Amino acid sequence: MKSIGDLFKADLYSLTEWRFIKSSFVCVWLVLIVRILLTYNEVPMPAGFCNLLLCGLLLNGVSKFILILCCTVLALLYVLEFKMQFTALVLFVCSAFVFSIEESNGVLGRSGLISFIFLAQWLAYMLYKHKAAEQVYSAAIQFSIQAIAAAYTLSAVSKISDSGFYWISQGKLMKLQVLKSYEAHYASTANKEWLLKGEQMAGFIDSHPVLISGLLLATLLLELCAMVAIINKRTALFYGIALLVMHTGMYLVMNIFLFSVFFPMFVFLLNPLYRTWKACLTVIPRTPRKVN
Amino acid sequence: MGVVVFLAYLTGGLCLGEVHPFSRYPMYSNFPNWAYVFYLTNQHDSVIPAQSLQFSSNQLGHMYYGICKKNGIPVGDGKETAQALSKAGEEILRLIAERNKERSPLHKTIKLKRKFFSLNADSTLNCIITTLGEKHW
Repeated sequence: MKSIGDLFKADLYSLTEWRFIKSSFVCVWLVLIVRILLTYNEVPMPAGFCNLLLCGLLLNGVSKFILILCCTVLALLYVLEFKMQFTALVLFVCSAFVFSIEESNGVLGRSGLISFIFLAQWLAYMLYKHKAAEQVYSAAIQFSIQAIAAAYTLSAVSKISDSGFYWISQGKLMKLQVLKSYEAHYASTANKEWLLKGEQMAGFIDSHPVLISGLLLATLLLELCAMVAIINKRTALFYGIALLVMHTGMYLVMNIFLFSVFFPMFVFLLNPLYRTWKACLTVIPRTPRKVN
Repeated sequence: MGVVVFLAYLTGGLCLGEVHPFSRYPMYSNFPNWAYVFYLTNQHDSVIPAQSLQFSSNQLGHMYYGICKKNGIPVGDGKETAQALSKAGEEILRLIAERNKERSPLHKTIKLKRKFFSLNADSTLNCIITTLGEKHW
């Protein structure tokens, strides 16, 4: 009889898959980190890790550029797989401090998942340090997917605890949040087309209550069952596609896009760069070898 | 190791809430009967794209909620007092000025405004606009 541990035992990932995942993940992470450090100069409302240390010191004059340099070097070491038990942990600490700086400026980007993924990978490298390399990479990916699945489950639990299962029948009130979302885009860009789109979408929600309830139910179930994604590589891929459809739907209807959750999901569950590379290999014909 | 990371992040999120790196991810976990949108205007009350001042409207909103939380101001459904709105407005405008201090001012005056939307019993939309503060360059 299979134990719970066996049920969730991941099949192995290749080194190539791991390289594509971590390169794309850390590159985007670095862009986010640099953008935050160049944008903010103070921490008016200390939050997260900024409650532990005066984050303002990290933003003073030259220190922010030293931090950018450190993060760049760490990202490079991470891609080169150099002393991962050290690199992943320091990346987590840097990530947590920098994202806390953003939160301390009142911008609740909910980027904790991105930081936590480095911690999950550090744990994988610590626990599997005596195992074969392939098992270590697989554990690092699998642990990251577990964190992502937990984030989606938390989102579903929040909906149920805050609104109960009635959440799916609140389409009429959702109209207000949709209007808000489009109005916010108008306020950001001063482009009046957003107002028109908002009114059209609010009208659509008003006239299709059953469809909207169905979509909300699908969203809730998908988030609640996110644990399915951690069973094996195949379920991760199928769940990734389902979540991609969900995020696309949320963007089209509500005009909201939570990058800090979508991006790790996209990279770890779908691994788009690896799949593109594999597709290219199958499309591009290999040069036939000369036979003497 | 089974599902140790899944359980750790789930437990952390449920127990600690919004403490980095954890979160309960409560976005749209309920749909209240009110919504705020924050925007900037010039001296002629024409909308200034928040992006031109390195902000987005959502960021202005996040800042507003953060400042209210920090100062213990009850927030939502239009219950904030004029004094509380003024305090939050002053702080947000200061942060806007701080982020743009090295750029030449594009507008002589910037006003921070809030649109307060709510739905009436017959599902018609109600909108109240309030000025939170203004800053002169």
